[in-house]
Amino acid sequence: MTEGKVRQLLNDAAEDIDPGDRLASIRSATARRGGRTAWGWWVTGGAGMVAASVVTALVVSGGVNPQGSLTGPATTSTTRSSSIEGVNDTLAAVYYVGDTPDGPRLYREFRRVRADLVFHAALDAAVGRDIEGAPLAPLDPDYRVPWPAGTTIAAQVLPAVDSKSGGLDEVIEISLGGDVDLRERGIVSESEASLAIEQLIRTAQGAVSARVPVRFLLEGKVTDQVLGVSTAPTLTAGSSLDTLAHVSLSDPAEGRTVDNDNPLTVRGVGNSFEGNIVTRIQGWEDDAVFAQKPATAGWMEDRLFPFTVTFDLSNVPPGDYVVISSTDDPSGRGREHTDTRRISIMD
Amino acid sequence: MPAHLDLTGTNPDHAVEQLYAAHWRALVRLSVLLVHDQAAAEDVVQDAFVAMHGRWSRLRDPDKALAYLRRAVVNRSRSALRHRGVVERYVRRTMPGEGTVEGPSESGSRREAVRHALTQVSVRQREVLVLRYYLDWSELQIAEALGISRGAVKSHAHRGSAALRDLLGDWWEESA
Repeated sequence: MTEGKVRQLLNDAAEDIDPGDRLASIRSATARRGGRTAWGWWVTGGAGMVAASVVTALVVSGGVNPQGSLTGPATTSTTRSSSIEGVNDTLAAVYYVGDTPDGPRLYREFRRVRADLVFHAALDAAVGRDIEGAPLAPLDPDYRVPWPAGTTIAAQVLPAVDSKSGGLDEVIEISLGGDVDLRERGIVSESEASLAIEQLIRTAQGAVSARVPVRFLLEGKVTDQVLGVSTAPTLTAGSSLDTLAHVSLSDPAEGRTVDNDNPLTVRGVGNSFEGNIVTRIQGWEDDAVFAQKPATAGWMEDRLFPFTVTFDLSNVPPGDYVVISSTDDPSGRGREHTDTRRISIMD
Repeated sequence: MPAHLDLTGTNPDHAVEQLYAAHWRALVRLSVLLVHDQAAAEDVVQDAFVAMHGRWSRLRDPDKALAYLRRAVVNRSRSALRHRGVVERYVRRTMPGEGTVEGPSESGSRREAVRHALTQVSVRQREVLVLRYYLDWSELQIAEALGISRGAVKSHAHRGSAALRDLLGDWWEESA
């Protein structure tokens, strides 16, 4: 009854609005600007605008990245102008669950997303969706999304008052919803429940490049727990060595095709005994090792360190290969953490 | 609007002209409900068309283009509100008692009263009411577009409707 009335009143209220003609102005604007508008590029969702502007402020003010740095993908490829639309893409770091000898851990994967939507696109990807809501799996088939299918996520960065200093601070608000009630334990396994929470915290903090505390909401209401994990009042990322896989590849991306005329640079982050990370290039079918190189990341601190290693591929025949980076286990008990990327090498 | 707008293989200039012919009026009306200022609404929709032109190579399909235009108009209307204070200016111009409301029998006055009432509810309520009841978007579509939960959409719709009812008084009761 009320709904019908509101519908009728709004439709009626719009009916006598008689817009002026702007076709000539639009034509001249498109001819002049070639697609760029005075107000910048379109941003999905109202909250997106708020968050995007806050994110810029955070980056400018020099926040601390939760994982030390977002090194990894070649800086030359982190932004690219897609000449057709002129919209800038960038890489968003998304954390996913994968297996290690120490049980499930988080791996970091870089996804190419619209530069104006990094924050939202990264969090949508973390629950297995793209910004339009369609299913989106990790690029690496070894990774998985810990959230039940149909989980929705909305997030924003809000100003908050720091309870200790009284100064102005920020809080990331993540609101989860969807088909399943996500409050109770038992929806996902206990070890993956806390990883799922960490996954969103680290993805959100990575997207704003700062260790901003995260407040969790369910269906828009502040909640004391999600998946049975206590979330009140706010959370920040936990111990890196207890949460993350000890090696995570940033470059190359899964499925990349590389030309064997060019050297292949492998980048990642890791923490290993004496800092040693060994990277191999193996045949996809037969596991034959074509090349192997050590690199030094770091150790002794509760974080992952960047490493880089470059391979000359000129003697590697075309075909499908796997790049494997592995931590060192001096005990010899096979407790190495590894991360892999499948690549195609061509002439 | 044409039922089957075939824009396959169309260049962006032509696509803009076709979509303008089909949707310009409805999109400006949508924006007027959100920002209440017709000139600002026309600016908003004009900008949305210019942006759509730049993305045509990716959209290519009239349904996607219309979906894009609607989202762009909703987002840009909010931005227009924030940056220009359109509603505030409007409210200052027409303080209660200054309007030309003559009586509930006159449909023009009722329309104006409804548009004015929309400026009196919160931004969120206004957006949810317009998207839900003017565009007929689902709660889920609105939740995703506005970055809020479905529960919040429901509650904004409920409170917004109640607020409109209070604000409209006789207009609400006497509209057929």
